[in-house]
Amino acid sequence: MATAICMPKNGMDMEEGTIVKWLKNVGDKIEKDEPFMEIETDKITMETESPVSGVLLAKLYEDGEVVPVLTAVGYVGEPGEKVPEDTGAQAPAEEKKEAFSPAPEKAAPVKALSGGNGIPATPYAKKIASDNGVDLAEVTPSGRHGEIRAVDVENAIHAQPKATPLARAMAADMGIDLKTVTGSGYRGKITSADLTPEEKAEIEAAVKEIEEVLERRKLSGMRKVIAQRMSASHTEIPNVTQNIKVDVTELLALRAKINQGKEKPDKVSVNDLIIKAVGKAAKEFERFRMTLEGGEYVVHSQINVGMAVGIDDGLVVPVIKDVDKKSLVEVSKKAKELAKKAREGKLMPDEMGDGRITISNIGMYGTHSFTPIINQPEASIVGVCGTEDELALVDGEVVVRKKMMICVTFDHRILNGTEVCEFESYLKNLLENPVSILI
Amino acid sequence: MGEIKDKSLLENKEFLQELMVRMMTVNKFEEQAFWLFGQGLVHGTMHLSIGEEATGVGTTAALTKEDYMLATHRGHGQALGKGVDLNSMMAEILARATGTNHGKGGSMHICDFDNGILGANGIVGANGPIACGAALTIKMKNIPNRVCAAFFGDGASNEGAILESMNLAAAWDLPVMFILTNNTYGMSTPLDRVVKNKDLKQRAAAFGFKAYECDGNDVLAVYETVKEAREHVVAGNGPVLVVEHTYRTSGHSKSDGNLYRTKEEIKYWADRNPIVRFRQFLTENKIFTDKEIDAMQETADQAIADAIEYAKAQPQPEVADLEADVYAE
Amino acid sequence: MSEMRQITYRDAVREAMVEEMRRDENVYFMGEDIGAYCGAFGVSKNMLEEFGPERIRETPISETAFMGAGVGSAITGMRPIVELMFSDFMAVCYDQIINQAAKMHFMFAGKVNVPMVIRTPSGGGTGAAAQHSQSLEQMYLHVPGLKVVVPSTPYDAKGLLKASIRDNNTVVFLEQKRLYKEKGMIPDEDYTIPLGVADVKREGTDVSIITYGRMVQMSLQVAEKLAEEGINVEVLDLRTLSPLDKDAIIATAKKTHKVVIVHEAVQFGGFGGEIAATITDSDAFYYLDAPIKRVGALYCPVPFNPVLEAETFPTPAKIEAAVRDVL
Repeated sequence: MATAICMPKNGMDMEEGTIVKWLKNVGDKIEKDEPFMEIETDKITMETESPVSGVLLAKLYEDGEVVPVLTAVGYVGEPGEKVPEDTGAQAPAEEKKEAFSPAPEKAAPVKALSGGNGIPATPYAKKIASDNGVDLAEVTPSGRHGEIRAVDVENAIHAQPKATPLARAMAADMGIDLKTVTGSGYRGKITSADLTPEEKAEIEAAVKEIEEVLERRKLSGMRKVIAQRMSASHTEIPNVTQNIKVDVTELLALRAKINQGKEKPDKVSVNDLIIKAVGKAAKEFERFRMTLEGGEYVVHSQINVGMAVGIDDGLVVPVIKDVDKKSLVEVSKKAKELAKKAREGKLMPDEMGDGRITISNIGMYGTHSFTPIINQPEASIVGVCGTEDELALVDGEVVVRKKMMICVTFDHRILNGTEVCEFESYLKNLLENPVSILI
Repeated sequence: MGEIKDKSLLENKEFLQELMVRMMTVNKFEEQAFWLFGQGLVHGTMHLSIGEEATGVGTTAALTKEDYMLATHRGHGQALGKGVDLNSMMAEILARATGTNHGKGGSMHICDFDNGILGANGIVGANGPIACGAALTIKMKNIPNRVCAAFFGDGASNEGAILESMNLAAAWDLPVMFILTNNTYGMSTPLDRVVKNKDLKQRAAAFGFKAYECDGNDVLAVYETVKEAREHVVAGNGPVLVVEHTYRTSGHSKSDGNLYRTKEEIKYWADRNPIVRFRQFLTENKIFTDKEIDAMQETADQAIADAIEYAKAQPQPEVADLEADVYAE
Repeated sequence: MSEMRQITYRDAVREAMVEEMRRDENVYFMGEDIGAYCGAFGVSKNMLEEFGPERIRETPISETAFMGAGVGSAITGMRPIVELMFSDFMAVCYDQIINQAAKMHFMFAGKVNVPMVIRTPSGGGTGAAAQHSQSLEQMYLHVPGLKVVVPSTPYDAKGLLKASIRDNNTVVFLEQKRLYKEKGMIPDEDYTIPLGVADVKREGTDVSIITYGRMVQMSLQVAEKLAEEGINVEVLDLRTLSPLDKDAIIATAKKTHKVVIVHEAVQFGGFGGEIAATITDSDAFYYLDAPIKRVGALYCPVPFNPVLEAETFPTPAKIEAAVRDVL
């Protein structure tokens, strides 16, 4: 009697299957357990085997047709045998059993993560593999019986790109190979954010904003200029700073003498004396009023001394021109005028140009020493620090002297060290014998 | 019935009635328990002592409430005689939470420590050693006028435990009463098949203590014998053996097909069972009329009917308690 | 802190009995040749002199009778300590222990307790051959209602025995013959060790040896040897086998991921199987990084020949091999 061959039920929830392709034609011989058709379920494509040997007597459905499970799709039997007419009927229960190829539900490809899979591993190895998203199939076992042990999984974790468990799970879901991802976490660990770079950048920016920025301000025009000039000076000039300590006891004494009886607006400051001294020195040392312009050294005759003035949101350098030709009082007066204008933002462009050397005085803050930055295209800048009490031996007696650091930053393309030494030494001498400043 | 040593007993109608009612109660209890068993209301097994009522009732009548007693697996009569609450015992037969053992013991393990019943034992002969221990407590704590009675049967008399404990009790002069109810068969095996010397009371002599013997179907003989033996024990003479000859007309257990004996033999003894004989004695001696004795039967029947009704209404024990109850606090 | 002093395992057992007998007049001691002879292992030295023959009660050689007498006295108000000369003899009086003592509390609905201690020397290594060398704890353990204690040190022996005597259940107290002469420190003050609490005798991280009784000392020796190689062995002494400190077993398994179970009793059907199952039945299973190994006695009666006897039981070499096997 002809045997019905059926659409198998390959899972609890399988209700129908599609005949992808018949592998036999009517009249072909079929061996028991030989595949006779290829079917497709909503999960998988697979072959279906014949429960009996014989000849394919009839096909009840064609390629591409959807057939309910356990429904006869054809008959196998002896050549010439009659096929039951009730072709739509389901196969008898007993035959049904035989007709199924014993394809378990798990026939669908299961993504290997950890556990199962027939890979021998200790329970703890499986646990930490699972916790860390490690695929046991990629772990080299070291166990005595070929089993994967915890240490093997740990090695695998270390060999792999470092990643957080969440990142591993996400990578597995998204089909991303972690080796292609750059980690941004601690010691390069891949975090979930690394798997979505755009999101990550946004998140990072947002985080930074929250963590660091108090307020966001646009650069003012002046700030922009200062910034450009500062970085130009710093990057273009091979600059060196040399410091020299000056005894200003006498200078302060002289200043006090000069100021005796004067009203405040008329009082001379230490800075005024230093401007005058620097001017004197610049006159003495030609290279200190030289500028580097294009490929040329340009030696200037005018002794124009700039003075850095800090103002709200910026820094300006008004210039006192012809210092050598001005008396101390004139210098003092000019300095006050320019400083006031600077603070009020009323400096005119010509009051800030043509400087040959600049003084940056931060002595009022008690700074011990610093590295001023050159106001291009000048050759040097004189930094003036705070005065400090020091014990000194004078005529075999211990006395207190006032000392101050002078820090000269210079453009090594224009000046060299010994020249600066000489300049500083000269300046020191002037300041320590202040009467000579006035002469 | 044998000769009454203490004639004043015949005057004590109340006591005689009590003996009769108790024997009837035991008999009815077992008959009804067996019937409930057939109804599927009792599970497991049970061992009936129908025909042996005089041993349990007569022996325990001679004990005080405080005396310790260890019953056998065939111990319904022993327990009821000693004073266990009828309702609680019936509830235990039905395996209820309020039974004497809260449904955890059943027919073979009825206990009532308030009435000195240290439990019925399912292991043949195991009572002997335990009785020695209870008697040892009596001795070490110098408790006056107290004994420990251990029931066992003709079958158990060949257990090492019994022989060892007879020796131990004798060696230590312990107040143990070894109560041997010889009911003729050890399950199905007649005594003469398993011993050379059928005179079991001679066992005591071997260990150096006194033995007593009586007609175990004569409740007054049992009572008087045990009473005398008890006096011997509380006088500080060490243990005694009391052999009570009787006959179990019921089967060994529910599964007994009585293949080892004839119906005629059973009928012979049924006609001579302790209740029949005591009724005869009481009417012949004109102590009670038949009518009065019928009334006693009705009292017993009613008590059992009430007990069954009570027991059926009792709750089943909680499963959750089981493991927690294994250890004492 | 009170003073500590050195004492043998044997003396620790005796001190526990003596102190409890002084404390509670219901406690008495019963067994074979425990009086003038002081017991087969000399444990009850001087006890007859102090307490007299009523409370140091010498018995006929009738294990069933005196074990049952222990039960009978326990259910009527006494607290007997019963010495069984060799634990092997329990087979002679098994009924009284298994069917009577263990069951009464439950079977009689909690209306009675059986506060009895069965003290008995257990184990081999003494050349006493097949009937005097067994470790039969598993046969008690399988019976609900008994507590089973196996002390490994003098300190534990005293504290656990005192707790056992005060316990309202029947406690089978399996003393270790080969440990009677072992010394250890105990405090002068009165102390007890609660039943059912295991003790980590040595902390470790690499592998756990779960053991009890005489094998504790042997396991500690092995642990010390392996420590020289940097292998850090934890040794868990169960002390009480029933009730069992399952939490301690699970904790050590989770901690080291590798477990070796050592007991002197025959490995087949031995308590090691229960310990292993305690682990694999719990979530500790997922922390195992090697099969659980058991080291127990061979499946044979204990032979007389000393070389054969030694090889029957676990040895340091066998324990070491098992540890290396799981590492």
